[in-house]
Amino acid sequence: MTAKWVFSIKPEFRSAEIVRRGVKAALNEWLGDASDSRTDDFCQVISELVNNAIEHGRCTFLAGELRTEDDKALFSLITDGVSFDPTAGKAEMPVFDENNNLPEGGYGLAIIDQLSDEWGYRYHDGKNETIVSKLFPKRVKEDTYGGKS
Amino acid sequence: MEVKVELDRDIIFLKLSGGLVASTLEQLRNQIQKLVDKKYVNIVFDMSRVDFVDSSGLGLCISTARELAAISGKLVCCGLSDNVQKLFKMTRADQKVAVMASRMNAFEYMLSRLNDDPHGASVLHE
Repeated sequence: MTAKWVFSIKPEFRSAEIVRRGVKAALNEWLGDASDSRTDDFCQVISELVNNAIEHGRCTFLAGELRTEDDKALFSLITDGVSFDPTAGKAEMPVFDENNNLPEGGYGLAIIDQLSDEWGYRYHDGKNETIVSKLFPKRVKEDTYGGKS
Repeated sequence: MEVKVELDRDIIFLKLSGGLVASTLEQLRNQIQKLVDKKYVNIVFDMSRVDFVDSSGLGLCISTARELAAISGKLVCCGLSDNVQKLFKMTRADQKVAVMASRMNAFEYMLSRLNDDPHGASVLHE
């Protein structure tokens, strides 16, 4: 079984919520298990990616798809506008400053980097495409004879 | 996101429902500002019905905790789901924002704080 979910949506912050919920539903159907923490991690990544494109990419077009290949889920986000490579940004978790304060922003890219298995960017045909992936190893069930299926 | 406001012995409980995300923050930010303007500085975010927090929502928790601390107040977040707890931990927000398991824990913590520092926490409500 494979999963595929395609979307094209207005680039505004509330769209991140719509995309996240759509991806979660597609992943749950594919995995048959809504409780997998990797699903939450991947949805967190996607939410940050969409928000980042809207906040910093200044796009007027936002589309993408979720697809699965074997045990891997891949999410592709396509936006218009000038070349905008989120992977070139700082992907380190913010640290405490000299007054022991924690910044209130700057977490998005670090969260994407930590919670995804791989992510990459390319600019083609006047569009930005960012792809993130995560492995969802299928659970191996042991049968009553000790074998595996 | 829905925000329900409850008051119990100078402690404000904001019962949040839905996603604490970029598109819903303005409403909550305004709500907090109104409470601070009325000198309510001890606030609990009851997040037992929050299913998702993004980095903007996390940022609001961090900034609110800092702003309340600057006026001798306190923010406590309680009832975090596993994925929200994970976000707080991986970003170290849990080191700057008090996190309690339940609303009752948060209430007891706030009460003990008020009792320990009655002058600092005592405010005149308009």
